[in-house]
Amino acid sequence: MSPDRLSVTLSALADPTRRGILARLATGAATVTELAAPYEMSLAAVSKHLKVLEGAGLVSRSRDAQYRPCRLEAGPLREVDFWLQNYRRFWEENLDQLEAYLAELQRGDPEGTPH
Amino acid sequence: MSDIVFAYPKDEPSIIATRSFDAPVALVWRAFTDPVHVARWWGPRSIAPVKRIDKLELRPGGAWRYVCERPDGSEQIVFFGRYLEVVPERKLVNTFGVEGQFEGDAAFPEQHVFEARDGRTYYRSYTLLPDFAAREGIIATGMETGARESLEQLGEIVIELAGAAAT
Repeated sequence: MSPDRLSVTLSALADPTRRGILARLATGAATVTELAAPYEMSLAAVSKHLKVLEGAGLVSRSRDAQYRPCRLEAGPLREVDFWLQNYRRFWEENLDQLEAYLAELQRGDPEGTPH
Repeated sequence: MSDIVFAYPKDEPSIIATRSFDAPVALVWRAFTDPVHVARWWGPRSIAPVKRIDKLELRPGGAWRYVCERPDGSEQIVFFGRYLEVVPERKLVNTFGVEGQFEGDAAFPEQHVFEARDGRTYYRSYTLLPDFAAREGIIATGMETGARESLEQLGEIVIELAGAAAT
């Protein structure tokens, strides 16, 4: 995943309303009216959020159906998940290795002078 | 057993990792910043352990460049960046890049803070996600332009949504 795409996906996910919309879409396709129902905001405001989600490739809208239902597209989410998991794993393992190395140093040479 | 904890703060797009080490801070600092030591632990062995420390110029503006290699020798991965702040035994701030992946403006800052307490060293890393803060204002909804919004539990939410979408 390019840093640019990662950044766009993270930006789209940074908003609680947009996360709410995605959570709703995770249970199945929905129209804008259905998506707007739980929120005290105009359809236009919800549409703006949907545009951001569409721009990030997180939501697709059918072109032909009359009500143009929205669907969740999981690809970018998997990519962010992959990136976050990798980053966590990288540092978790790196720091575990540091701990093991520190223990080794302290056993052999409390001053930690390089061998 | 590692006591590592990852957190996603509410008010900004960052990742914070905290954990402690059973070692004095002076030793942890040296292990972190002396190339002879770094060469002996850096780079997850299951991903790409370090092969060679090319540069480790420990001063503000100095460069660092670690050449790592896949465990099967199939690929080299080069991590690099610049030091922005160096406070011995207290704090190290550097940019973190990966050649061919995160370069230039996309290389993101990492802050490492070390604190001595009861003979142990408490370590905290703080990473601002790549290029994210600057873009948020541009991409924002227009409702709260430029406002930094919650990334709390981002990791958990992403996993949950990806899982739900997969079924």
